[in-house]
Amino acid sequence: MKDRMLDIEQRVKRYWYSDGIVEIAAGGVFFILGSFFGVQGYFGEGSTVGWILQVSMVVVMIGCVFGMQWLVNSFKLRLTYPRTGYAENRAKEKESRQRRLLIISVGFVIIVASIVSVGFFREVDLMVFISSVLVGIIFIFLHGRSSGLVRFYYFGALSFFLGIVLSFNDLTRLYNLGLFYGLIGSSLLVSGMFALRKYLDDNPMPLGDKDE
Amino acid sequence: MSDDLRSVIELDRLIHEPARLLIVTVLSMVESADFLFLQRETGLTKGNLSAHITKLESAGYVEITKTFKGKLPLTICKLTKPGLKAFNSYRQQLAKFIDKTG
Repeated sequence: MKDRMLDIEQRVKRYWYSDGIVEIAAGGVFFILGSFFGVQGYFGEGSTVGWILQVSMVVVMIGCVFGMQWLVNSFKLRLTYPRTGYAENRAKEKESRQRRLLIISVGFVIIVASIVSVGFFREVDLMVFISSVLVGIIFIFLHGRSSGLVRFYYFGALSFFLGIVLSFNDLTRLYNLGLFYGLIGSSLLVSGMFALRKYLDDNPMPLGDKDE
Repeated sequence: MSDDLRSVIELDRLIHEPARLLIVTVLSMVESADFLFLQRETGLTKGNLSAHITKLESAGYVEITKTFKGKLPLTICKLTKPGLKAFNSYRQQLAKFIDKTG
């Protein structure tokens, strides 16, 4: 009985990610961010277009976050809830606050360590390196550990790997950032689409009344 | 026989029933869940699930709300505070019993 209870606990936590919709939406946001950096890199940081892109990026990103939320809710409402039901995650405030604090502390230590170490590696693109570390930590600790889904650990590893590779290449900072976010976004999109395809195949729309 | 072992008699029988234990366990993991989600997670039939949820609702352990998410009608079930307290106490009593006998 204990095993079955543990199984239910993990399945409920994984339920939010089971349809791949969150990954597709997040992948889209990362891809847009990567495209922004790429285009900005193409026109150059000091150019008028580069400046306009830099200013509009904040607005676009805020729009993306709200858009992502709306998109996820709309798709879950049409695809997920009628197939496998609706469940809202329990907010474990105290626990998540401690976890958030721990993640922020680890992130802070890594950033400080990166800044200190940059003195030894002057040719390193610090911005890309820090981004990759932070994105990797988010994947592993916020998504991987909480859901138990292995694919988030792979995303974390991919983020660290890209961070290391791109930090040492000869491209400009904006191209590196564009490549980093673009590649992470693409991998999230592909993984999310596979997850969605599998989810839809495994869970056909039930016939008749859904609700009791 | 020690008092710890005898405490198994005091287990909450409303929660101890396997089907209801499954329902309460699933509900303890979420803020709220709809009927379809519970049906899929527990593997119970509609009628069976409905009967057990009604019993839990009568005991004040579960709160049922009929609502809409967009145009989708949902029967949302939520474990109440007394329900969660009863479930946690049940788990502790059972764990203590297993510790003493295992």
